[in-house]
Amino acid sequence: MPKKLSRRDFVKICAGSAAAISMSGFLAPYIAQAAEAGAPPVIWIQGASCSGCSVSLLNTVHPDIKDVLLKTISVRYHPTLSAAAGDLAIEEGIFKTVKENPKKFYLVVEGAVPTAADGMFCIVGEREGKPLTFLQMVQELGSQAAAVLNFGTCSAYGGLPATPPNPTGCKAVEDVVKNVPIVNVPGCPPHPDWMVGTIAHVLLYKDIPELDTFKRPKMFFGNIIHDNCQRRQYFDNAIFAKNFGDPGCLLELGCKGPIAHCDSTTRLWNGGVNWCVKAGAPCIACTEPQFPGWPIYERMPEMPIGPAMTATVDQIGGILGAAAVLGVGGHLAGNIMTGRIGPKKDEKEGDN
Amino acid sequence: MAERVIIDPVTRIEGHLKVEVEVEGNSVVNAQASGMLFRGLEIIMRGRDPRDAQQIMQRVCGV
Repeated sequence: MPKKLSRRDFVKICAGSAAAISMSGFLAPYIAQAAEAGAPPVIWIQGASCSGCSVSLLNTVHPDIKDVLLKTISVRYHPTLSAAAGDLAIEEGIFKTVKENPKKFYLVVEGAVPTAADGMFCIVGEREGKPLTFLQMVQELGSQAAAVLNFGTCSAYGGLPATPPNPTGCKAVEDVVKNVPIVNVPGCPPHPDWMVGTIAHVLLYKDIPELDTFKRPKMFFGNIIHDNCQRRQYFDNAIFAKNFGDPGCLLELGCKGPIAHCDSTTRLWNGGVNWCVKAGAPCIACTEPQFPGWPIYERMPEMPIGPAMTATVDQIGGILGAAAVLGVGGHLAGNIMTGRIGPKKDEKEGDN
Repeated sequence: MAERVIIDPVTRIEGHLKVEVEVEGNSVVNAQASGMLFRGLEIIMRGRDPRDAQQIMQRVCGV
């Protein structure tokens, strides 16, 4: 039986680099302990999603975490994993759990909520012979949950299906469910550790973790990609890749690292093997609310000169997206002034 | 008289599937399967940089 883990230590373990140790593996016995003491049930529902977040969750390094999440803690319904289907899933898996555990269960939502045409673009089942829309389900379950955990950018901010022109009127869960604590764990998909860490936190401490302005857990989303990027030295030395595969900072190829908040730089993916920018792919800022409403492979637009700073979550506040871009705009502008990033007319093929 | 069996949702798949079957005297006489989610990613792709397609369309299915 592990010793009790203080919340401070928990956050430290989650926020620290997990490349050396398996965070999920470390937390597994604590989650099991919490479950033995009677952990609250979890209901996992999917709307306008691709199931990619669930698949990412199963990509945890530590093999036991799947058993812990799916057997030890009480996941009463998961569309991709539940054996129950049809009425049995809807009535027994979902609504019975809700009725027996009002304000006690945690609702995990994957996928945006289509609201156009009364939500008929996403029907998740049938109740009393009538189609049950995802909109109805999120509103009914969300209002009775202890907290809503939005896994993935779609449920957190609308994400891909809500990209203009947003043909199905997709909205974030936050826009259709009110008066319930919400935790957003964005990412397309989110890193398994971010999901495991967030679930573990609510199970162990019966409370949601500390959040930033966009309701993301600070322990995972407190840093900007650009600040810890392995290619940062290239940026500081004004070496910019002109083509994919070139050495250099990927800014000119469309990298959105300067506005993206997450810890992929140190946590790494696929068991600590690699991550997007290190592998040569520009950051697409999939953890940000605006994703993917911008040209993905075009350089971030220059913004008016602001104070030359690297924006942090706490400094930005309010209209965070615009302010983040402004902060980075200042950062870039500072580099333009000092000649690190030359004007476009000076660029020649291969003049790295 | 045919008996109608409806399974909605069908689980352990990616997406939202509904299956309707009509059974008459131990044999299936009619069956329908419906995908219950529409996101319109093709509509979202209209007017965008063609290079964006690889990032957007790959997210049709995450399994």
